Amino acid sequence: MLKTIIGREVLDHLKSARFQIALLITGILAVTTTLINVQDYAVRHQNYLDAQKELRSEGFEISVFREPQVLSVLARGKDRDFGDQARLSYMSVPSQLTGYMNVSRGRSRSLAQLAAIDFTFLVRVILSLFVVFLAYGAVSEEKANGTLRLAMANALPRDKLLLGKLLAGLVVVGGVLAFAALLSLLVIVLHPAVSFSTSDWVRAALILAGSALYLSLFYGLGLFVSVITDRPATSLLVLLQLWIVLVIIYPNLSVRAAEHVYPLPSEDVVLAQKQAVSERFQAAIQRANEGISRPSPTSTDRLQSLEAWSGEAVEMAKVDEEFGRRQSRQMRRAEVLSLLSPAAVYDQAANRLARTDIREYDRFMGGVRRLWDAFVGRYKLRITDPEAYKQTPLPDFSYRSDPTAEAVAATWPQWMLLVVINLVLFALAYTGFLRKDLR
Amino acid sequence: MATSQPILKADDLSKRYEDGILALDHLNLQVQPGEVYCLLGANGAGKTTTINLFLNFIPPTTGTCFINGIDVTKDPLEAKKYVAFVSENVMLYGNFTARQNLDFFAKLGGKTALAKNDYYQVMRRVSLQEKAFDQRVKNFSKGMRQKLGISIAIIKDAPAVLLDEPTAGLDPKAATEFLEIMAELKNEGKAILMSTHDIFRAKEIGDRVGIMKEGRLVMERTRQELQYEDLVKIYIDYMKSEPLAIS
Amino acid sequence: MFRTVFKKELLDQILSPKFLIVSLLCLGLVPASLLLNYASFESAFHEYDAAQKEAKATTTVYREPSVLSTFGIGLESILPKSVAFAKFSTDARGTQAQNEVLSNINGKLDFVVITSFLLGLFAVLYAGTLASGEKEAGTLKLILANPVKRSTVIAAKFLGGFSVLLIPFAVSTLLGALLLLLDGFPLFEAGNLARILSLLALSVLYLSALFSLGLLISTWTHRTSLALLASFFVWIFLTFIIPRTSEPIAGLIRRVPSEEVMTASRAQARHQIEKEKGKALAPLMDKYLNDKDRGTWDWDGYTKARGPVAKEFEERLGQTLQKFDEDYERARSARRALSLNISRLSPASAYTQAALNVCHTGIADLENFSRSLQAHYGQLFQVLFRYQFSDIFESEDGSSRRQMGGDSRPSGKIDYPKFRYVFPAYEDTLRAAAPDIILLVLFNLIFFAAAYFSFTRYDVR
Repeated sequence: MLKTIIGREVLDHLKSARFQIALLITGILAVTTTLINVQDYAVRHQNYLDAQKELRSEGFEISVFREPQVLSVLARGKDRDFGDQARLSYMSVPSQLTGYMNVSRGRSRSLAQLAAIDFTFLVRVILSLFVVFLAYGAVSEEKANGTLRLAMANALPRDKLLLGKLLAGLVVVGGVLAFAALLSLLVIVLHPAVSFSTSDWVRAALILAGSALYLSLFYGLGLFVSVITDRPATSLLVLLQLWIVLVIIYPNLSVRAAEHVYPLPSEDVVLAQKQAVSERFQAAIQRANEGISRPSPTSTDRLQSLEAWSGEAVEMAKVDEEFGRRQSRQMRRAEVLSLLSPAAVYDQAANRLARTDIREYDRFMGGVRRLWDAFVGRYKLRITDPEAYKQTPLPDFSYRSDPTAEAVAATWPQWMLLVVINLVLFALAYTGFLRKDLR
Repeated sequence: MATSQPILKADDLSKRYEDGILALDHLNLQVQPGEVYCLLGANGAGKTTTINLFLNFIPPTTGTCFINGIDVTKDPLEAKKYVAFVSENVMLYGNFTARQNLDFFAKLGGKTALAKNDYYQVMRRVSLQEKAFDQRVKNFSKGMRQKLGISIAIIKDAPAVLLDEPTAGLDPKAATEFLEIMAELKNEGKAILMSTHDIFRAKEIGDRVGIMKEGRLVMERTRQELQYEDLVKIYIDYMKSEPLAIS
Repeated sequence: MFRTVFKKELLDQILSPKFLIVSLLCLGLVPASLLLNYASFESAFHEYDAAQKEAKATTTVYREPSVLSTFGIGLESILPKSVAFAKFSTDARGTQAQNEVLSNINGKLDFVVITSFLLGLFAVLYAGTLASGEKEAGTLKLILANPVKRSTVIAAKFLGGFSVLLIPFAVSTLLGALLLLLDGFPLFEAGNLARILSLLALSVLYLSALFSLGLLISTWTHRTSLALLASFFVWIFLTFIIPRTSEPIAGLIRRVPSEEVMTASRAQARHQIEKEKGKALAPLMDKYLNDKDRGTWDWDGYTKARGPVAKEFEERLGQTLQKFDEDYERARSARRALSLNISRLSPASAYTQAALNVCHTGIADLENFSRSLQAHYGQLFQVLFRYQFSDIFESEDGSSRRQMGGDSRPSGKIDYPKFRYVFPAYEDTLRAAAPDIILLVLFNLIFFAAAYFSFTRYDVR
């Protein structure tokens, strides 16, 4: 009996015009956006490789380049926005990355705008909408055209009917998602510039699983609304409004609220703080400059200069770090506020898994800071012990990237939240259907 | 029966739809004041098309409809003053009460000065339960909505009444009540044109009965004639007979 | 007859859950966004005020934020908070500048966005159910069986349905304005009231255009769910696809080099001319400022002597850079205009442009500010920059480089020009917004006429 119901439901969906249109649009979008994102990544990655070649320099300044995240082809996050280059010298600790290497090529800035869509956007906005369109009439349309009564005129318990509808819907939604995922992955696998490591595959699989959870949530929501309303037009109207609030309005609003409730110090305040630091070190730096600009400065002079400048740099960095801490805190608070929106929850978890969120950036900057310390230490040797300096190689840049296990553990609560909401919606649809007036 | 001007008159009425189907083939029909005309026929025979033409919902291909002597295509607004319409299976305005629905349509029909009691009276007349008068229509059963529809037609107090399948889905008691109202309206001198499947009630209430088949009025009998003929047999014979030649 | 149908429509819509949902959303979002944005403005203004008062570096100017950004943030976030002038360069600070301007206009929750985006959606959706909903309920037949014209029916449905949308809009706006007033918003100063009222009028014009569109869609089909789907897609097309793609499309048609490329080329051109100047000045440097002993430098002599030699180079430099900047600005302007015109295919864009101009955060204000900056630079140049010089001497192979800077200004107090930035007057705003206003009126007429016409042929059976 259950199989019959599921079979008919699935067939009904497959034959409907809206499913076919949705499938077509999904296919086109999955391919085009992945292609654009992959090409964008390819260019960024090539730039990175090119830059790495010129990394070794003995000068007063060295550059560190950030490798673009390969999973940004699926979840862009902020990978493109964080910049990719840091210049270190003993005079300043870089507080943020500069430059976006792709931009100097100029060419695809316009297209890049169009490519603000990635796979997770496709799932979060477009597919969730399609799911709403597929689900809104699940029960209300059948009630309106009388087939619901016909179905119930058989030896069919209500819960089986609803279960059948639910499973059928999940099959169809899963099918569409799998279709999109397959096309995306095909593009990724076939493109020469992109290669996933094992852990990348694991993460991609997790993102996919999360996408399925997210979409099933919307199906459950659609089913629930379809159960409690009588006319499909009403279901659709209510669902569209819910969708707008959950996917678009609420995430936006919660960010604004977080900005307001946990404000960041203004740029001028930060500048003033840095000004204060500058004034404190002014005397020392002036003395150091006088020493250096003598016809033949001694090593003591040079050491003094190094320590004055690097001392100031450290204090300046503290100001920046404090600001960065507050910024991270604000972002985390915004994340908590936005938990009411499944779209935001999904987005955060996906970006975390793809290493395109701010945490990855923080780790990178931590590595930069450590490099700076080592760099300045080595530079000191140049003055105090030139022999040892020649022996000591340039410090290597490294930072501990987010290991997969840790990312999974960190995103676990978010996935669990989605699971819970799923279950609640199914339960509500279930109880609503059992008590529904089917006349 | 007074042989005055017919209030409802179809003159050589034909309707061919865009897809080529001939829904009505030279229909000639008249309904006098105080007369109930029952139009019988299978689905697609042309009954509803006839009513739609009278109400100017679609334009005729040839021929004319007259309501109270007015050509409905030339002066539809004037013609509609003289006809009341009861549609089949109407949802009405679910958010409004029965009285509010009645009030709205009464005003549309030109009766702008009615009081609450007038509405209550009409609803009582159609045997609608008292407690339903100020209840929202969305909770009404089909029978209740049907009765409300009839009361909408009654309150307009128009000389002609068009009904499309009025007894479909009514229980026997309600159907009997309905026939009583039709008899009352007929005695008030209204011309009533009713399309229906219900042979038995048609025989009971109809002063004249017409059978439509594939767009043509193939048979017409008066009440007297039907005393001597079995309408049921005639009807079934026509239904069973060969399809008419396609014109 | 009209009154009867109008009253029925009004009551029917108010009793439906749609009205409750719109009211809740409006009452929640509109006042909240107004208060939030006003708080943002206040802190921005506070910053500006403080910076202005203690402005030590008088080659830096500060931009006054617009109080009407409370209603429409628009370009407020990308216009710089301060601009520091130096010879041949300006440094804009405090902006999250992106090259593309239009894409910044959408996306931040303010009154304009709520209206164009959310209320626009509701307008189209609710109107989309009007004709087909009535038909599905079977009541359309009943109405038209009476002596009432189809034109009356559609006009009454339009006005009745639209009033229902207007009521939550009006109430929530009033509430928001009241709360703003209590919060200290200068409602009755500086022509703000006139602008806010204009903004409200524009909003109503826009919403009625979308409502007419929804009504038109409603007359295309007999099934309400289909009408809703179509309405939704149309809305996505108008509020997302057209505005977001107009800029990239314009960029593809009118290619403009990116900011980085332009800066690099400009720097290169400057470097080239300065190198040549350095070569010409090298003998003077040897004469007056020889390297060995700084104590014997004849700085005044150098300053005097360099004048006539450097003059032609500096003039050429000035002209070259000016041409660079003008050409670039012209190209960007042209692309921006093209992008604007493409996006005007959507009433949402027309509304947003006009609304933001009214709030002093639109493109007209961007251009106004740019012009003010240019004028101020010109004045600063006359008073200060033309006396400053910076000579760069580079060896042929580029390995050694010396830079000498100085000031040949006659001594005395510098009379720094005051930055004259005036918000555009109401008449100028209207002129700038005129094409959009006309477009909105046209949209209204076209959509309503089409809906009217379509409804007269609507199959009511």
